[in-house]
Amino acid sequence: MISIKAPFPQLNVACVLPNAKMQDSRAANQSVNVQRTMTGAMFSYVKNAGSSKLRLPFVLSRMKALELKEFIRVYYRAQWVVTLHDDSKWLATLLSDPFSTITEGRAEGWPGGEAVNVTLELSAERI
Amino acid sequence: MAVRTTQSYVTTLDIGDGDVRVTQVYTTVLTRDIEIVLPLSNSLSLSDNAGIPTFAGVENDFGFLQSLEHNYVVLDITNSLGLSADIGLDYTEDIIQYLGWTPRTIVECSNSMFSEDNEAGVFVVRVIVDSLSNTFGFEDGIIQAHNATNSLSFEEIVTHLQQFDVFNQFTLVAAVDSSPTEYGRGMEQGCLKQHITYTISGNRCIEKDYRPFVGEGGDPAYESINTTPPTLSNGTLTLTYPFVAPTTTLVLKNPSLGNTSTFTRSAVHRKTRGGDDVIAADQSWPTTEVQNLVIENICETDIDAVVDFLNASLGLKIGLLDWESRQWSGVVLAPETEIIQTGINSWKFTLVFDGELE
Repeated sequence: MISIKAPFPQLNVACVLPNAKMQDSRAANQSVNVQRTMTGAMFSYVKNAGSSKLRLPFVLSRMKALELKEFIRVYYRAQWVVTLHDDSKWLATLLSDPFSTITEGRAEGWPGGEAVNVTLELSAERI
Repeated sequence: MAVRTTQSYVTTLDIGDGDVRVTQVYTTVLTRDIEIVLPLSNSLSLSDNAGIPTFAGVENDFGFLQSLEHNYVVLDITNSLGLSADIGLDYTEDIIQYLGWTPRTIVECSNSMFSEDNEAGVFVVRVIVDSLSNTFGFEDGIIQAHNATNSLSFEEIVTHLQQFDVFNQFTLVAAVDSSPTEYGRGMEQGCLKQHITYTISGNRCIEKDYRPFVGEGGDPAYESINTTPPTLSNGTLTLTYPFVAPTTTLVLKNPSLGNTSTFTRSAVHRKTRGGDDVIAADQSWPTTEVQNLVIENICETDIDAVVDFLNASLGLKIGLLDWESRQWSGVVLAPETEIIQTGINSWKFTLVFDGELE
């Protein structure tokens, strides 16, 4: 179970999502720029923001997708506190722009009757 | 004996097994009030027209009447700027006429000047003149002024009906505090706010149902989230034009699976020099939602109706009742969409619709 809460710091709304699909990713938000001098010595510049980019693909029910869309509609400009499936907490900003929901197929028994593909991309810092 | 009274207010948000997070935020609000007094520019013009004294209609102690007529014109430009203005002007007027009489004071005056600003008034003073000292004081207060200019023109006409040597001496003192002053008041207010977020994890349906958990507190800069699940029911894609009082209705097959809904926000998204992603947006900035629908297996008759509908509603607001019986209003974004024949009497096209839920 993944939960997202907003708006930080005055958190009062929580949205619970199922765990993300496999192929979720986490990338450090840092870069290295390597330079060489005329004499061949090497030196490097490191840019490290201390944050990560999280990519979380979900398959949601139609109703849960509508809830997530409503959450994003209100809090897209806020910071979120995201609790992942491994209970790690992140202070995150939504990167997905535009944010799309794609109907994957019918899902009998799920609220709304459809399965929807959603991918959240977040710039997050572990807290 | 000391008595302590404690009052607690308890709100039940929900019941279940889950977790509660209490966030305490200490907010500091710094307000600063600044009052600025800008230099004032006051100009005074004074003219004195002392006529030849004559005597007629005399009513003084010696049977003489001397009339003094003062015309004042005060133009308050500050008032015309819509600001409230005070004009501070005190002056002392000494009229000395060497007639050898004893000093007298004002016996009658009429004043029509100070009713409102920007009005020219006539100030008539009838005096029995010898060594006469009249003191007039009038005051107008400037509360806040920016580049205020006050002008006063003063004209005095002394008419004697019998010729005497007349000596008028005017001493005019205008004092204006033109030193700009600025002072500010800082006030710091601190308040401790408590916000509650909770989730209930006992019911697994929370991962599928429309079920936002709304606690207490929250930031007033954000609107409230809609906690009521939208009502979905089976329907058929129906386009209507115009949106208000529709005259044309087009019923189509529901779109194929794979339809997308794209929410686009208006936000400033930047990366700092350190690599952090920051986002800023105002609540009033618009957001759009675009539906991308692929409609397949349409017969030739229907596709002709689609073309007619797109031509008629080109760029205009239409209604879209979707397959979940939700009513949208908006505009078809891509009327130039290709209509592809996929088989014998089988067509498909893509409908791109930018609209909002009614």
